[in-house]
Amino acid sequence: MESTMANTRTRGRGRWFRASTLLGLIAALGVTACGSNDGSAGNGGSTTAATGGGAPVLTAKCPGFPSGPPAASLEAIGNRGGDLVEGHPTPLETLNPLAGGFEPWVYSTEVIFDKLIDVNPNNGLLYPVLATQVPTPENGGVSKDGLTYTFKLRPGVKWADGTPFTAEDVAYEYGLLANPKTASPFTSQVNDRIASVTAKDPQTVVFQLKRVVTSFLYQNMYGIAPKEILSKYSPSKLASSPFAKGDPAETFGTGPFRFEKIQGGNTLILKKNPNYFCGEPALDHYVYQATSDSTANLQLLQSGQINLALIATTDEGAAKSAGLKTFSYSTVFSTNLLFNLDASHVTGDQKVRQALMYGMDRKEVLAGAGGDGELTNGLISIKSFAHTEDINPTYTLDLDKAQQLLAEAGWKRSGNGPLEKDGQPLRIALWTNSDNPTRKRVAAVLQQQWARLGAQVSVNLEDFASLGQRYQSSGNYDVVVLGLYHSIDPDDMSQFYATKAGQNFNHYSNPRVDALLREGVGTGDSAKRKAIYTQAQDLVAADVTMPTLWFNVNVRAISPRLHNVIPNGIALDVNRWNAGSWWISK
Amino acid sequence: MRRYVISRVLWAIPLMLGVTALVFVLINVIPGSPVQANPEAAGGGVADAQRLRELLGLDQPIWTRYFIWLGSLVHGDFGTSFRTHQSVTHEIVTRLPNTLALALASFVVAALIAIPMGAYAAMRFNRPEDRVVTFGSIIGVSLPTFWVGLVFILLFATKLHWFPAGGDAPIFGATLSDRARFLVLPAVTIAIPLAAEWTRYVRSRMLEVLPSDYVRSARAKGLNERTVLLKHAFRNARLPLIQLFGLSLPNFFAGALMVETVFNRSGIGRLTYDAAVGRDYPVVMGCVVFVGCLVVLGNLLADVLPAASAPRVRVG
Repeated sequence: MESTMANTRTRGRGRWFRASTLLGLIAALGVTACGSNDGSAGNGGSTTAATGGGAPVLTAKCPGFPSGPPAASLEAIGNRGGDLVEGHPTPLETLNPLAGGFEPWVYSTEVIFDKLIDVNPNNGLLYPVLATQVPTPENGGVSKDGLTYTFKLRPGVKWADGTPFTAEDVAYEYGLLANPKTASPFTSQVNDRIASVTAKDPQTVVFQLKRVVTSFLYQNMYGIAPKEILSKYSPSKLASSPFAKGDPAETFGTGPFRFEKIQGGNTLILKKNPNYFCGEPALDHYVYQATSDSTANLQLLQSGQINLALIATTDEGAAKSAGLKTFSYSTVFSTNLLFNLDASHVTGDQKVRQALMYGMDRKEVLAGAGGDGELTNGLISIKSFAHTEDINPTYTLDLDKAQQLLAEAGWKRSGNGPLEKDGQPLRIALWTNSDNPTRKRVAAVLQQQWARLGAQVSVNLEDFASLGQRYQSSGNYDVVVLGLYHSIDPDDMSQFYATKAGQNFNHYSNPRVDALLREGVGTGDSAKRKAIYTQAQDLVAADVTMPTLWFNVNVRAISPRLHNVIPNGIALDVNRWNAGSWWISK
Repeated sequence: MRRYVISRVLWAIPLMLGVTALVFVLINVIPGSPVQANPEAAGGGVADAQRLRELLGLDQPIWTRYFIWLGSLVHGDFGTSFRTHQSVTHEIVTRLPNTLALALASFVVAALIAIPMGAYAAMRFNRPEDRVVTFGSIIGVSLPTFWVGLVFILLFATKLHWFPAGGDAPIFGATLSDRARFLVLPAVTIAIPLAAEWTRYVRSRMLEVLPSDYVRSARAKGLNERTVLLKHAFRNARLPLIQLFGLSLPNFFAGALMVETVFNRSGIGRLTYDAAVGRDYPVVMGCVVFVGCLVVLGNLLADVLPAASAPRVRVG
């Protein structure tokens, strides 16, 4: 084996030299915003460019792009050239836009591949990117039965290699997504919802749904890659293709940047796409540098080695005093408690779960966690039209009620001792992941608060992957502090609270909730939908299955030289929605 | 000599088989999987996770997977990363130069500190200078690497701006001197505990050698102190040191695991760490085989180098 090793090393070294000469390139979803002076530009494309820096604003070329306060505050590009380096917490993964979903690596493909439509960071509404308009029943884009969606494609859009983007590209990619041989985490949802995607003509693509799914436009839009490249590989080979691994000749889309190369295994270098349909981006390169944590990000920002990174909320003060710009914004990531509903666990009793909710002071938990967050009673993203705080029941600290519920469930105190039932003390095993300092503190505060009720709470920590296995397979827990990622359409509830749903980890099942969720996703009218989902939230809140404590707040720190960065937490991947108009002053 | 080396290398085969089987079992026994439904990311439910696990072959029993892996390894194929879909050989080899540069630099720094300090302490045996060096080496061994790294970054990078806070080199247009500047803080961080350990070895070896007859004779001949120390005393003290350097070889890679993470450098250490956290089994196994071979090589060098350095030492 020793000699085999030696051979491998020699061969490997040759490969390294080849790899070091390899250049590649990627671009990502960059949506350029409007720079109108009054901020009131509509979707008509009649926007006048701001004249601040004298350079043209990209907006005029991109009619229909989002407008409103953040977009209106964009500056005209004051300087061209320069490279942006973003500190990025996860190591590099695949660049295949069809494979995203399990890991937040999608950040890196956001500026390479555009979607047909995307979420407007100003208001959470949809706006067209590669399409000319968002299909609605009014504009004829959605059929009367709600099953056919027609997208007209933006004319003149080119792939980064200069070839035209057509409806064929869209149809081919959705065909791949539906194929189980393509290693994509989206396949079951695509097959569950979409019957066919056809290119009616080069500028028109038609989606035929299997049933009415009103959240389809929010949840089933993926970054589009060229058919010419994707069709070079069989579906099962796509994941390991040069396209997915990063190849300057293959890894590109219609976005403002395209793949150039991977340096040293942890630096992804993208270069600008001069063919970008909103005009040539100002930055020469967009670089992702893998960094270890917030501390590292802060140090690298201060020394000027990176220009942009996510930092811990507790580091915001330090970043400000170091002269960095910071943005704090609530996100679609929530902090939740997952209760074990199995009857063999103490939490299997609904009254115990309700008592634990009444015995919890959320404000104190949030303060103790040291993290910013927006407390909520509901289960739907704060950014969603269907969000409401008016949920019944809502759980606010009420120790008497908690004690009463526990007594009803048979848990009684003998003297000053802990609560007991049939001679057994009330023991609760609370779990969370050890690599998340906020959640560790949440667990510690809950331990104290529930101890006041007379419960013996043990806090258990393990790494993220092990914890996932615990609550998805072994079921060996009472309560888990975990995070959830939400889509801003209220149908988001279906993936967590519908019977047998993909992320319904505690096998919660309530037929009335199921019926309401089915009704909600088949209803078009927003006000009616909101009422339906509010009813569903009331039921789930009474059952106490996976309550949301708060929506997390993210802090992004940027170098003061970097302009036009408007982070927002409206979806996983829209912090770089206008990367094409970012620029660095000299 | 040749027979000795060959037999040592052959003995390494069962050793490596045992190590790989053990690590393969351990990493698979740890709960978690490279693909699991992740509530903190878009898309991807339990059913999709199961399908993707089957596509990666993770539904096979552990021993089947081990022998498939071993079979590929015999053909020189280390497998493919679950995360990047690059070959494991590619992943290791692209990071190797960085880690080798770091190991070499920390070796040089550690030796440059340890040899003069150890010799100096031995010459000033039991005097205050000796006590300072001895005490300093205890501190050096005791300081945790990740803490030293963070203090260095705070002091020399963010406060004084003498060195970069992390990374490998400027991303565009890096010159050799740029790379060297990025190397200084991590190399010193790894070198400190090693230097502290080696200083004590050098000191105790020199203490054994200094009272010997040939040193006294050399002094009696009227040779200057420098020649006595370097040509007569140190030459005889260095053999165990060479062994020590050989045995320390894996330490450079172990140190890299921590230091590359703290300093955001790319390298084998960081690769191993990320792969273990992400349950990227093929990459973890590749790194284990790589470092395992280094341990074998280091032990071999520790035995063979003294023989090469001093013909009177015979092995075999």
